[in-house]
Amino acid sequence: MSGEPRRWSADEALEQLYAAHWRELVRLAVLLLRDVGAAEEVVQDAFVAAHARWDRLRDPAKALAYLRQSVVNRSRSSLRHRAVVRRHLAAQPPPATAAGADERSLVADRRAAVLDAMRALPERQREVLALRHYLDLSEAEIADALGISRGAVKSHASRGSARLRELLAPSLEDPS
Amino acid sequence: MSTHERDADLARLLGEAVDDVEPTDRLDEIRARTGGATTGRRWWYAGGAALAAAAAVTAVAVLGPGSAPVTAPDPAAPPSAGPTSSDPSSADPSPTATPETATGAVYFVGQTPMGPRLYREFRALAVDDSEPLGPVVRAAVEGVPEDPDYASPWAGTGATLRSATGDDDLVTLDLAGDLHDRPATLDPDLAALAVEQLVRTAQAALGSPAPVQLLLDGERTDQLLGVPVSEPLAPGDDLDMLALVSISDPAEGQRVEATFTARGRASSFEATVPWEVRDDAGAVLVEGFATAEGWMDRLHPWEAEVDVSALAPGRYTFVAMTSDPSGGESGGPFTDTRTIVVP
Repeated sequence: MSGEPRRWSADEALEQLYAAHWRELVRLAVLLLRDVGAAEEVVQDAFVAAHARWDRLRDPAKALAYLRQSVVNRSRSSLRHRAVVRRHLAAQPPPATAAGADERSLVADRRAAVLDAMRALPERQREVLALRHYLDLSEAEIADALGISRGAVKSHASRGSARLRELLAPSLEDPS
Repeated sequence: MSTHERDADLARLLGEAVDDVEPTDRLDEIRARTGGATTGRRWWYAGGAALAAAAAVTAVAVLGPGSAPVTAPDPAAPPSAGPTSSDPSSADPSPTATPETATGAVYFVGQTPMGPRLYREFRALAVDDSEPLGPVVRAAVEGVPEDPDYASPWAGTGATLRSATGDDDLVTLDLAGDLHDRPATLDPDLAALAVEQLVRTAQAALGSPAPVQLLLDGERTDQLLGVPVSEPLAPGDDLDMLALVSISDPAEGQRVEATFTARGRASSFEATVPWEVRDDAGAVLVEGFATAEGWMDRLHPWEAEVDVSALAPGRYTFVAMTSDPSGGESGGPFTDTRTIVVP
């Protein structure tokens, strides 16, 4: 384990990966979680974990795959944690998230509709769609990231796409 | 419209949905957390040397009781890995818990002065009535620990859980993947801990010391990751397998109140469990000690009231330790840490 020369130290790898992927991974997490603050928390934790594990990851491609997997898993945990919290707060009305609704543009409406629709999908379908359509990953890469078979990726993708199209029918018909 | 064009449509909508998200720059914050200010937290860096040294010690312990076939489990033996009444966060990980999610105890590997050992992490898991053991064992096989100090030896093996079933007589866990032989990159002691991790996680979820039969692709197998598993397995001895102190509450990254109750388990000299709250630079800001309910034979519950009302808002590290009367000669105290957020 000691004889192999390494191109990057953990700190260097962290900086390179951060520069190249921080924004993209936060956006991925927003597709999964909707909330930007929570998305940043999740991705930050993933970077910290990847740094701690650099000795085992060693190559940047593996580290990126680990980061993606970690973001998806942590997003899932975060949603579940929030589900628990929500039950405790069940008596209270949800906070208003649509402040300034009258000023929102058409694009902003569509963004909100897409994020709402994503949240309405079952967990696996949401994850597969985000990895496939946002990160443009292959079936094999998605299977690795989620720890499921390629067949399962295919079926989640097709069911998820169909459901998302149904939910977004207005936006898809009029994509101006 | 072709499938490809329709997919391109969805890709465009998803891309647009987040293209206005400009995350704040957190590189400094990440650096602060990875900077090694709290020594001991970056244990994977120890890499070959520390793990290899540990292997020599723990392989015996692991391959001894840890993997001993059991044909007649002792019904009087308490489920050592089971949730204890003093861990309210463990709620009830059985299928009768609240719907949607329940808190389950998942075992992961962390570094200790005695080499890698198992720590227990409590986490919210989806409840699946059709497969009550599934979510918690799946988290052990396929999941990533929330605490960055822990790791799963299963990560990188490509292992997935096909099914997890069981009752008080026998638990059966069916795994899939290229898992027969130990990957060259996986230390033998970590492979053995990987197996122990599943045995203890399943028993804790079930609240029963039922022996655990591991299958590969639905079939019995002579070994898994090179560890013999043809017979049902019992867990190894607590004092050989577990980190001697662990924190159940708070959870990693938890926002805490001005005063909060920390809980965990320990086997520490004279039942004394020192604890500290440290800042990023490792300076001790608050300290105290808890007294566990026992210490010699196994891990016992401890509980501490921690007052952080005097601290400025920010991230801190809560540390629980074993008492080390040798003054470091025996490798120093065991520790478990949690990042806490003081709002």
